[in-house]
Amino acid sequence: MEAVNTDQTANSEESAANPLPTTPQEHNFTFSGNGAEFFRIWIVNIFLSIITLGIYSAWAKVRTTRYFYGNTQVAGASFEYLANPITILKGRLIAVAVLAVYLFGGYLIPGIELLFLVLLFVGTPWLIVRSLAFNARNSAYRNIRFNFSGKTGMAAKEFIAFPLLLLPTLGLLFPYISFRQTRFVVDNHHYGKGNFNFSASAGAYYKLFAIAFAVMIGLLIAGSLLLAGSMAPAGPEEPPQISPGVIAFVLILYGGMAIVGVYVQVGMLNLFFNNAKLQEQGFQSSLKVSRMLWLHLTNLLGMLLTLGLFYPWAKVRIARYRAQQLSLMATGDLDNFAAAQIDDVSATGDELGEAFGIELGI
Amino acid sequence: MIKGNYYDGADSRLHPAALTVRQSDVRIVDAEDPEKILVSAPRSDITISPRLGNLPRIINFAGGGKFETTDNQAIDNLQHQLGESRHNWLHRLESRYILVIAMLIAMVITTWGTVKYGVPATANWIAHQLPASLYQQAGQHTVNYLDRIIFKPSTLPAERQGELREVFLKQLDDSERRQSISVLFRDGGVIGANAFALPSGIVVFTDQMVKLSCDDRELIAIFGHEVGHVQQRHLMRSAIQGSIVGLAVAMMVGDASALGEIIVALPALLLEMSYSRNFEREADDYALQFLQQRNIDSGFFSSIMARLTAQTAIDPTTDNGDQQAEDSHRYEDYLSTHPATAERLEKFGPPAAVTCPRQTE
Repeated sequence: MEAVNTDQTANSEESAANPLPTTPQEHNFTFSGNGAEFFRIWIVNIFLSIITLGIYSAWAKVRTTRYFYGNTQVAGASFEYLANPITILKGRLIAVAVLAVYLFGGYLIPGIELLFLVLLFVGTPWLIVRSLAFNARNSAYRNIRFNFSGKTGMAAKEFIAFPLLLLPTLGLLFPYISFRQTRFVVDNHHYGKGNFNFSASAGAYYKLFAIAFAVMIGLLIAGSLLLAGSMAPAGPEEPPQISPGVIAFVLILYGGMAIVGVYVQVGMLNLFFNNAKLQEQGFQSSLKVSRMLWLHLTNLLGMLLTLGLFYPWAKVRIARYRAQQLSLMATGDLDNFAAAQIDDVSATGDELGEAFGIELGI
Repeated sequence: MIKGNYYDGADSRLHPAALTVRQSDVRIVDAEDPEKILVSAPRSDITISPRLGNLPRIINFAGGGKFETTDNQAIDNLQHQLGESRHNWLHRLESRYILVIAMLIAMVITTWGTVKYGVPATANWIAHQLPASLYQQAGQHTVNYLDRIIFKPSTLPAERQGELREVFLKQLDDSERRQSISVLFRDGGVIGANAFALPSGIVVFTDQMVKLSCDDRELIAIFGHEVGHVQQRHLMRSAIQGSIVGLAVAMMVGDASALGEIIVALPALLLEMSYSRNFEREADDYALQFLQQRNIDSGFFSSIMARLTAQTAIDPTTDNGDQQAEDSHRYEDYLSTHPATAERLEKFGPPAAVTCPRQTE
């Protein structure tokens, strides 16, 4: 504290003479939830959801989200989740009805699934925009709400039109599309009257995916060599057996996919935060692939050994690590973000998207 | 006095502040200067966020201001003082391990009961509500599909087909006739010796199955098993159970990652296999009764089953969907769609004496 204060004094003296931007002050994010506490909340959530035949699940969602928001703190204040459970319940009922028609409709009207998939594809931009808006508008920090102002038409361009170019370009456009989607999401977010903007270059995304791709190809070649090496000509009488080579191949492939998956996830998160700015305030995220991989691996092991009861600890561990590695780089003070007029939005898009597993890879 | 921060809602400014209760008002004052009142409101105009773990509490003022504090104990006391502590019943549930463990046990028992009795009973009920036309449609659809991807036309002589069809249909009693059972013969291709029952009452025998038999009564035994499937609407019930499990899985993995999906999908698969084994057992029971009522030695089921098992053991590349040859491995029951052969043979008694290969008439 002392050191920071001295720094600030030194800086303000300097800037008085010379109007240079001051050195940003680093505010570390912290996550103060713990697994045992969340375990109890989680069990009560599931129990009440079951005995109310799913009605409580809307309240359960609010409680879980509140737990993760409220335990995330930065610069002396915590985040607040404001969604109304009734709004979520309405969205959830619509989503369940649609999902039921999707799952059972095929028995009555063959081909209805196909119609659904087409509708889902066409409707994706709307779902994405509504989901982002619902979550942003129900999130607040220091009593100022976030907002998302992206429009369905713009989302259609980023999430449908550009991805259609993937096939003719043999996937070469993938990093660029990923970059554009992230930029669309960040640029349309607001905190009160403050605007977020995204300053990454497409090149950073190309680098990330090129490395991931190269590692994947390398593993595939290594695995194939192992497989070929173990394919000794077997006697004609011998029944085909699962050779150690096949097992090694499968292990390398799955292990490799997990590593590359985490590498991409960590790389995207770091790119996301390190290039996002809220007016002049920046962020710094320094997640490590090795640490994240360790967390995922031990989480998986914990879940398997406890038949899933480890889940709350798994979620808390990831949230804690992500907060630990994230800082707000504040230039000047954080007190001057003014509130903006915000309209309510229904939860239908968010719940439908969730029911059909539409996830933003960002 | 409760310490915290105040945000007025107009901007993001953080005011270090303190909360005090003065007569009928709740008041937020500047932390440095207790005389400077930031906001003051009657008790009825404030709402306190319900307690959740150790989250900071938010005191919301009707005018839009929020006071945030980490002093949960003080806020609990304040709520008690204001007579509002009933709002925290959820927190009281969530903070007692003994209650949480009781709920966990109750959930395990409920889930087990639902999976074992609830889902099959619901599927059975739904299967009996569905109109006959739906069964016809589903049956025809399946035959067309199998004809396209697996089956080839039967090479059995037409007379032999007709003869067998007559032998089979003669066995049916009145209640079975109402299911409008019909018999088809097909070359089974890659699936080899097998027999199926489709929802609409179509029973398919593969040529390989007919050729494997050494006595028509063996085929009647298999036919009895398939009629059991038709009578009990197994295929439709299995499809409905699969949908219910699928819907439950989709709802459970709502916010879980790919990792969560594996953890939920694996038990779901095992569950469907277990449902399938139960149907096979029911069909076996039906076949046993079917044979006994017609004074046919149930050992004919054992003899053809034993031959099928032996054939599969010699030729491991033949994949038999309907009868799987396995030694009585301990875990087999969990990983198979059919009961172990040994268990089935025990039910039907010692194999009947048959002369093989069959003497051509």
